[in-house]
Amino acid sequence: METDILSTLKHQLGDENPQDDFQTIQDMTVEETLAYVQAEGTNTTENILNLAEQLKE
Amino acid sequence: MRLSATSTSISSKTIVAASGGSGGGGGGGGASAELTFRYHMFGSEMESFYLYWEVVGNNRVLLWSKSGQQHTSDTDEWDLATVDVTNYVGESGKLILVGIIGADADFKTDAAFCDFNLNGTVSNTTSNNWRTHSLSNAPSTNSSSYAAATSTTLTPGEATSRSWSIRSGSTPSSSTGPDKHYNNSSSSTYIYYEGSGGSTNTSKGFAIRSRFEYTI
Repeated sequence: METDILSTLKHQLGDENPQDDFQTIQDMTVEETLAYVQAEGTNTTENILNLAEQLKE
Repeated sequence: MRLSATSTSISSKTIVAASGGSGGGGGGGGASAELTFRYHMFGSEMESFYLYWEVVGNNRVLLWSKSGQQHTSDTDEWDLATVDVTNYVGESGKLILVGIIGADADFKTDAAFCDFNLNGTVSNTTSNNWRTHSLSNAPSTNSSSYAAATSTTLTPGEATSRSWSIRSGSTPSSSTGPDKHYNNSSSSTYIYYEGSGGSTNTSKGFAIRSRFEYTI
């Protein structure tokens, strides 16, 4: 389940951040992904923030 | 059920438009024949999608096409397409889905397809039953017929970017794609075009072809 959440989260991060390389985002680890979300802060979708919270649990 | 062959002139084939109404399987004793399938096209930047019938080594005809968003939510009911394929009774061939994706395409173009029934013969939307190609082999042209002619040898999987994919449950992107298969099962798989992964310099055609031949 964590893998599903992580892959969905990275996929949506890639969708919402076209300025960054999509494949590079898909290759991020859990820690890198959470750090990316934190860096985006509130400048991202509610769905992404919810997925990140689920991943932390 | 497969109908027996009738005299059908290949040269007299016409493109038959799909209707959106209800319909069941064909083959009820007459010479008429139907193709039915379900489609879900939710996404504000939905591109254009085409379905062809291909008599292998012979000709290819357009059966159905849709452009732009046809649904407004991932939870919308899948639509039923019904195509009259009476002109092709007796033929054996393959189905080909083509997406023509613009150079500046957005990710919100996850068009999904399932429940193909060719006059009573079901083509399940599983990875075993369909073949596609890589992004590098996608034709750089707006011609859907050219894209349909592209060789398809790759087994589709759960691709993450710009290709035909097989999936169950919801597509990974928000704001596009269905939340699950038409039959409401989270484990049933469907075909969809994965629109994520960024744009390319030119428009490209993406094709997925049924692996096996079907006889109408």
